[in-house]
Amino acid sequence: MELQYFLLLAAALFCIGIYGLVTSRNAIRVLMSIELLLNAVNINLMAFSNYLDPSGIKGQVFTVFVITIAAAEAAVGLAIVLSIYRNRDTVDMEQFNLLKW
Amino acid sequence: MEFIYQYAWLIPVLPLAGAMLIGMGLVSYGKTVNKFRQGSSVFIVSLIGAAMVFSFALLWSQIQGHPPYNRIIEWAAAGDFHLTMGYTIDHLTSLMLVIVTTVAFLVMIYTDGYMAHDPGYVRFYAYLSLFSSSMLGLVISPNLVQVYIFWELVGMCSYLLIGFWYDRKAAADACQKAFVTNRVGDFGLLLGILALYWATGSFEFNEIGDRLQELVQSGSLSVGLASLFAILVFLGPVAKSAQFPLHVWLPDAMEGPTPISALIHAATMVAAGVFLIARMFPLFEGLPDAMNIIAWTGAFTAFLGASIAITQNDIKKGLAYSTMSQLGYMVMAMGAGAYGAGLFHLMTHAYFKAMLFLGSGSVIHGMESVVGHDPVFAQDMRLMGGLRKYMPATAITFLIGTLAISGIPPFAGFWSKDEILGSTFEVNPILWAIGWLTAGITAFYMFRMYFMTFEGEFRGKNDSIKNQLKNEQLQRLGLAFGPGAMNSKELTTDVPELHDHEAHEGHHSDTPHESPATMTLPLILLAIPSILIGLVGTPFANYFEAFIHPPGEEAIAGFPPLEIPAEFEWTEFLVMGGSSVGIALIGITLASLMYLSFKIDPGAIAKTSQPLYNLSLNKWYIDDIYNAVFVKGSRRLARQVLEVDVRIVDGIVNLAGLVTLITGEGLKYLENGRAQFYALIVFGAVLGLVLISGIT
Amino acid sequence: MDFANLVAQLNAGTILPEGIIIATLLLVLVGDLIVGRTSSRWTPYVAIAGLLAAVVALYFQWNNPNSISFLGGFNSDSLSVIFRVIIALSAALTILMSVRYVEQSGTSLAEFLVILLTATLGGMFMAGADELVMTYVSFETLGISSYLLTGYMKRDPRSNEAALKYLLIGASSSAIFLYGISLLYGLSGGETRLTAITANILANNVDQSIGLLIALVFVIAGIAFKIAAVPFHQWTPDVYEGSPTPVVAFLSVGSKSAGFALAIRLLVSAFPAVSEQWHFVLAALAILSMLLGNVVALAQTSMKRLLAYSSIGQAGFVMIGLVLGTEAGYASMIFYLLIYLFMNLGGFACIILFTLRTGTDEISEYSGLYQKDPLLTLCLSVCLLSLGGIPPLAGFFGKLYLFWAGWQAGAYWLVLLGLITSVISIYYYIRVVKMMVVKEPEEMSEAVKNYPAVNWNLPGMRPLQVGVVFALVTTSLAGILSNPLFTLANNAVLLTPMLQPTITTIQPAPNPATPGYADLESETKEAIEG
Repeated sequence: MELQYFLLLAAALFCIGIYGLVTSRNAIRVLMSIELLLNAVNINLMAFSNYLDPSGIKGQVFTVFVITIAAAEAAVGLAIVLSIYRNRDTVDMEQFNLLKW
Repeated sequence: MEFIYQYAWLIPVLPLAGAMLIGMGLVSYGKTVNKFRQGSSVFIVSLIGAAMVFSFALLWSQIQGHPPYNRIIEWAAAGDFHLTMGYTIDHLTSLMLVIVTTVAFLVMIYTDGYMAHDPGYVRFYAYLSLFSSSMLGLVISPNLVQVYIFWELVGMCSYLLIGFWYDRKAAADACQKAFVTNRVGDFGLLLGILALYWATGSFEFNEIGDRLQELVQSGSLSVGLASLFAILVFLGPVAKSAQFPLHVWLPDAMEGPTPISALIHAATMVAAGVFLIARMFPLFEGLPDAMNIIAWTGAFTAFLGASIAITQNDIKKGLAYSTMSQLGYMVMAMGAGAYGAGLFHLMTHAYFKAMLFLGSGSVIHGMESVVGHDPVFAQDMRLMGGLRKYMPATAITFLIGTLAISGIPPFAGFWSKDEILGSTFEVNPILWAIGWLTAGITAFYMFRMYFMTFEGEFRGKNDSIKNQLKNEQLQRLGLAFGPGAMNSKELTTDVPELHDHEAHEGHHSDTPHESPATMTLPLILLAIPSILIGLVGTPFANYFEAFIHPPGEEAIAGFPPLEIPAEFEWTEFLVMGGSSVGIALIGITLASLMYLSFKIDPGAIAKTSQPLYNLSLNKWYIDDIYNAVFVKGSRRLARQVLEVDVRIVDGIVNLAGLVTLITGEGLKYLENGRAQFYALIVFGAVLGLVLISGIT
Repeated sequence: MDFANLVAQLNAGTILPEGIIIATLLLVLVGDLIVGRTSSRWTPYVAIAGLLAAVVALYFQWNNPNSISFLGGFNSDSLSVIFRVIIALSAALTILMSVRYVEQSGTSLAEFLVILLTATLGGMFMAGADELVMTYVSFETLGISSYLLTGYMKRDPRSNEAALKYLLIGASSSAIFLYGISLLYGLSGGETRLTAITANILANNVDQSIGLLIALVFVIAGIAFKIAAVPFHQWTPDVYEGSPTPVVAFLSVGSKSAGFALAIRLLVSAFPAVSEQWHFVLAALAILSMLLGNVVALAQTSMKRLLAYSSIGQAGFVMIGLVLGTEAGYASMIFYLLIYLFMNLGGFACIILFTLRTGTDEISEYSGLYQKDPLLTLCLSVCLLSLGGIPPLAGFFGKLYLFWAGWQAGAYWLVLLGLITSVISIYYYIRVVKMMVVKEPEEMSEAVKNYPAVNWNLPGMRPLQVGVVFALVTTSLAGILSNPLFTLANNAVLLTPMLQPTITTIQPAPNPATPGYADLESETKEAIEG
């Protein structure tokens, strides 16, 4: 296996994440798309770490940090979606446009 | 002695601190502070007193031959551009400091008596202190930028104080007039400063002069252009020192309280113009065209002022025109190259004119107890007369001032005026002739003023004159506003109202009374320099000239300071001095014949030379001309320009504004409130930036 | 013994200021847990004391010769010190103005303080982060705490919505940023320290690859999100409008300054190989920000949205200094941020005060305010005029230095555009001032007519008053007495070794004293030319 394949996989995953982020109407799906974006980066980091930096494995350490932060981000995101659901009774992204112009 | 130089910055800072403290107090706890009238005035007076002591110490040290002291701190710097602030103490500065602080100190003491019953007493002190601070700051400025800042500050204080009684319409108008007129001059000054910076790359006085000389000599800057710059700078003094054609604001400025007229519009601020010319002397010196223009402006102003003063009946207006005339003398002296003489006259004039104004204030104060607080009655000399009996101290000091300004030896004015006339004669006899003639007129109108006010019978109870005055005033108002603009009854009922208002002062007496000691004491104190100060500059022992000389001159002439010229031409002095005393005496005699013993009827003369009389009475119609040309003309021009403007210029400006607004309005809707659209824009922008930067 | 040894090895003293803030944070958190809600009487002052103590600790870090710590993870050079001071001060001022606001909204103050302090911590670490992991972690620390702060008014649907939007855009931007970082990690052959990355990139001969360019743009996208540069700005107005005003104040100053600190460090030390490109991209962003921010601000009716667009425009002005790449450019940028700190926070403090008293932030509701509350009018006018760059207020001198530096560096078009857009900006600032001052009593708005009597004795009002007056005084005086501040900014640049070689690359001058740099420099030059 060559490094490029991993990178292509990561790029593809990243694009899928973007697609999901932009098109989903459900706020939870949007949050999931963000996880996808971060995981695409994780693949990138792991691949680089394995191929280019096998002794230092800084990429793997980085991945652990990214996973942690992704978890925190997801927690905060879900909390916000929860409170918005309580106030508005919906998680439809189309409805969230009180603030504009 | 060194430490007083290090702390010299305290001189302007002390009054500023006082003004700030009182001002802050007034803003936040107005009622309480207004109750501590005496406390705040004593506080402010003692601060200016401290500054005065400091200034005397500096002057003494300078006389002892201390080298000039400069202290500069970097104020702002960006790259190669440096702006510095600081202060400089040299002979000229120390002299000006003493003049300003002493006059300010005495005027402040006087104010206590004069403004005793005014509700704005504390505010007035705060303004006075602020003004003193700005003026002192102006005097110690080491460069043009700082001069300009303080120049604007003193101007601002002046407007504040002219409009002190802002509920009087005339005061508000005068304030506006002063503002507009000074703006013209200040704009010229600013242009001049910027042009000089462009040409020489410096804001320092001496550097500008030196570099400009070099540039002119090397031919990289034409003499005409250099003169133009100098004249632009001169526009500042023209406005501030009330020189023709920007003099019109000064007489109107007399609407302010009298202490202001004495401090700002006679002794200090109006002299700032002369001071600036002195500071910029190295610049003007090398440009004969500019010097000529300065000299002629000064001479013409001197004559103009004197000729108008002859017919003024308002005591303060008369003094205002005489101030204008005397300032003209100073400017003429500067233009003729008589640096020392001009500044000498500045000093003597500061003292005797401050005293005259304070004296007039004292008279007005005395009159108010008889005729009420209407300035139309209280300031008109036709209602005065015989006041010497009631107010002896004021009368004697006023007489001293009159003698001084008329140039009678050994009073101060003689020496300085004589020196100016002497040095002008050497340059241009025509200028001398104008000055000489003006000296005669000066003596005439000053003694007219003295006789009308202090001699003869008291006319304050004469109702027919009062009615006549009231009618004149109504006529003037009617002319100004058209019929029906102001109900005449309003004006007549005004007077009794004021009576009630001032009831606590005691009922109107039949006779004027002498002013309180706080007012007469400054008068007496000012009388001393008015008599004696001239003796430091006598032609046979000219200490003043030796102390104050143009920068750089000592190097050329090689005079050590304080050396008195060895040979002295008595004949020349006697001829010059004698002729000026002679014409002054003629003036005085005429005045006494007309206004003291009534041997000649002034009314008859006025009738026989009606056009001349009217010319003078109507101030050479300059105000009317300005009104016709500038106010009305500019309105007409404005109307025509408006046509073009509306169609084209405005169209373009509006279009640009409209386009911006519409763009803003349009772009606003890009913000459609949907987070996913925002995310799309972010991704799109990333892609776009990669593509663009990849291609380039 | 072992611990002391470790501390010495890691040079842990450099993060003493952050340590103080962590201790404060814990103190506030635990104190609130123990005492309960009455703790709100002292917690804000503890937090402010902690932040000020951190500033004092930073003072002793100034010009620290041994600035690199945690094995290259953190760099406490003068540049980071000054940015950390700005961030800590902005947090302290924000706390001053948030006490009353949070009190009035009925939420817990201690939690707010804890999250705010965490955000500050993230910003301060970001200003000194010298390694990719560190950069990302601090970036997210700041980000996630900001999302929480934005949604702090959890009963208010607008606040919820603002938080959600901020979270979504923030998360996508940080994902893009992270993707860029991962590419950087790969291109440098597995190096995460910023200083080592450049050398490795040049050694691997990938300095002209499209990969590096993608990494650059992706990283810039993340930074531009933080500093709200157009076109990564769209969250700004919505978030500013919806979130609690003190939070907005912090976002507009603290978070933004952290973004600028990151921009300087990351771009200068990791991307010298593509310096032409990053200057180009940033110049484009600066132009767009100045134009769009100032033009759209004209059409706003809400004060908070107005300030949102104005802050976008201001970010554009600051970016001029970043784009120049000269010593004067960086110095003027830092100077402007120092001044911006006071004037912008002062403006927000006034808006908070007005909102607290009237419950609205529509611009039209401000009309006639002068008659009711002169102090508030004065302070808001001074701050807005200073933002607009009217002499002699501080903002004028800030802009003067920026434009002067730009002119010196030959960026004429940028400066010209800056001048034009700052004229446009004056228009909308003046509009508010005119609204407050000129209106006759009859034209007073409803909110002003019902304006409550000025009462500073309510709990939490005194700190707000202190904040308002402090901002007023500094904004009026910092311009006239700008020299010490400017010297500070200049020294911060001069004492930062990182900024020196890049300056010489811009104006090539061989420096024999540092052969290492000279080699690197010639290589860089070849790389740029080749």
